[in-house]
Amino acid sequence: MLNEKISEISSLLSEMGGLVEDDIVRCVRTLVEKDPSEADSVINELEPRINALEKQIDEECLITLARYQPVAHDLRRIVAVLKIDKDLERMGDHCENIARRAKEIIKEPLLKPLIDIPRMAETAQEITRQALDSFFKEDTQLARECIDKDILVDELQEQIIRELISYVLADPSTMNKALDLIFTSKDLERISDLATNIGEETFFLVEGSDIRHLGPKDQKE
Amino acid sequence: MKKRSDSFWVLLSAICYFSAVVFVIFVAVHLLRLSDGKLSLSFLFTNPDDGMTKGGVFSPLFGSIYLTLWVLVLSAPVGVLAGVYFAEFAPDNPITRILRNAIRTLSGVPAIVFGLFGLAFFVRMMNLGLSLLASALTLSIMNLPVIITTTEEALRLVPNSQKEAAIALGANSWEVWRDVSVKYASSGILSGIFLALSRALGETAPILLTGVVFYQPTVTLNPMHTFMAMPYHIFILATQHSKPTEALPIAAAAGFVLLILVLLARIFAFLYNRRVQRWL
Amino acid sequence: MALKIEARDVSVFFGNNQILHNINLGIEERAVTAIIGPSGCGKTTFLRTLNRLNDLSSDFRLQGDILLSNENIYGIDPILLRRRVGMVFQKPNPFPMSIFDNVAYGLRLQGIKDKETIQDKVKTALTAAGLWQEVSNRLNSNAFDLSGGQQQRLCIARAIAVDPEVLLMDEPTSALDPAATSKVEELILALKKNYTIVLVTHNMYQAARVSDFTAFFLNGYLVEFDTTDTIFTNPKDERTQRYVTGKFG
Repeated sequence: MLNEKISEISSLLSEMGGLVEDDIVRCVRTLVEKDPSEADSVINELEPRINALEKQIDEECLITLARYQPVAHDLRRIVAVLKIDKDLERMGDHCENIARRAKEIIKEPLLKPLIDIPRMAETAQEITRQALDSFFKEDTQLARECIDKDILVDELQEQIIRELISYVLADPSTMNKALDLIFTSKDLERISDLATNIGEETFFLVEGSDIRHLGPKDQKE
Repeated sequence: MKKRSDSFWVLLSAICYFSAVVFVIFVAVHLLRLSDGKLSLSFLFTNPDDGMTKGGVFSPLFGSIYLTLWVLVLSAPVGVLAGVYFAEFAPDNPITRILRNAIRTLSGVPAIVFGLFGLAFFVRMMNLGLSLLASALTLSIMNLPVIITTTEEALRLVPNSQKEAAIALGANSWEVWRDVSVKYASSGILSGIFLALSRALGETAPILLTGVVFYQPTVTLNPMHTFMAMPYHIFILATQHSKPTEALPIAAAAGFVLLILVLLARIFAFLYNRRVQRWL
Repeated sequence: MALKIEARDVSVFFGNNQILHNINLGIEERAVTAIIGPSGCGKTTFLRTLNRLNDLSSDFRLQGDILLSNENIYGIDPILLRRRVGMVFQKPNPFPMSIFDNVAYGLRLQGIKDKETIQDKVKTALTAAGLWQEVSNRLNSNAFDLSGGQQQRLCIARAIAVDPEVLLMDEPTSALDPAATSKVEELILALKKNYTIVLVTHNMYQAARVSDFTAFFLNGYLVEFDTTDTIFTNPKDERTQRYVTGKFG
């Protein structure tokens, strides 16, 4: 009945989360290892599977709401899952952007050796993994940790932009290459941001509290 | 408000209930007092003696019980089967309705009319003469409406859900009747039979014209013979006797015995009812 | 998936009243098919048509065909039909007998005399009905000593003891409290592995929870029949939509 349905949905969501984590690693690996086949697998394999899972989870949630009328914790879980799968799907789209762009970038020599972008990707992936873990384990402490890590990603992005701007000022012909990398970092920043949303859903699930759009001070209270 | 009016009706019905009980006790005590110590075990087992101023009530007591047994044998099977027919098989048409109403009207006919019918039909036409059989048949006719009606009502009270449960398991109509209807209705039917028998036990008018006698020295099992019976015996002692002062205590003692007999029949019916009802 | 029961153009009359109008409905084997609809929509009448219980009313008349495993039910002896199509009623209706005798009743009707066979089958049925653990130490006590929910599960055990192919359930939880209701619902889900179940309920949430297919009846007509998922998320007919959203009935 309801419990079986919920665990079915949870396992679908966990499968989707795993695919998205994989997605983040692979799209950046295209850049690092200059391997277009990684980008192809992101675009042709992972992305369609993620999209299909989103539809499937949405439908299962809809049916569960219609047939079992979950309330309280169960209801919050279904509602949270509906938001999380949307977030994961958006994360997948950003990965696809990165992958498509990477295929173009690697056709020519890189502007500079990549250091911060792989680090950003690593952090974004870690936030994603922790956020999903915190949701499945209903661990608000873990959720808090991963939300706080988002600042690292933001800082890395600022650093990347500053550095690339200095390249462009020195040599305006690097504009295109610099912009590609800036967009890539922007995508990664979005991914990590969406991942922290999942952490916020953990709070909603466990405590029923909505911590979105609150400053750090408000969150402490 | 509702509660108060509720308790008023509860109190009223309790008063009515207990006044009925008190009345029965009052009659019993009064009879005991009038009987002036005549009552004993030997009173039950000796025949009336010395112009009915001495002795006991054995012959009328035996006559009454024996008569009741005959009534039971004659009326119960016919009455129950007729009731079953009306409840289960009779088509719902005008003829059935007329028959049913006729039977119910019959139960309101005065006992003396049955007595006259018994005299005309059983004693004269059937040539049974004044006999226990003629009386038993007359009382049976009188009892039939009661037994038929209570049987029919008891069967109608059998829950449909129970019948359907059995049918849905693949029971045929005989099995439904055997396993469900009998179980549920038997207590109602039996208490109807006992009700009718206790009435037969106390009735004077129908036997008066068909077979009971004032005095008879011996008891017999021959149903073609006349017999003595308790109600008639009491009636004679209390109103027709030449020495009322000597006869009255005996009449009172006999009345007490009859009262106890009728009560016993009722209690038996009640206990049986309870035994069955425990299962329901 | 195969069709266990098929109603072809079934119309039912009581006297001059037409209760059901041209019902065409296929009931899948080993699945739960729920029939929902407001009071007086004919859902119970339809259910009682399937085991010919309506035949007991003298003014009942049927048009169309009902097939059980492709065999017309009017070609089957009703006694045998009812052994193949068991029924559980709205109110728990155990017989005034012991728990054991209740379950054994149908077996004895079939003429099974062997004590061990009866004992085995009673135990199997009570176990399947999820009641064995609760009553195994008091099989000889009166069935009326059980709680309402237990009585209803006893009635389910009584019905499945004779190993029917189909189980008809007529609002089986309408007289039960929520806890007993959810036990019976779990039981229905467990039973569909072995039986074809037709469940009449006016609690549409119950239909949503336990059924695989849902038929919506209204005023004697079958308005819509589809998977339960579809009926409760995206019904096609305006009237179904209004009923499942609680806007009438």
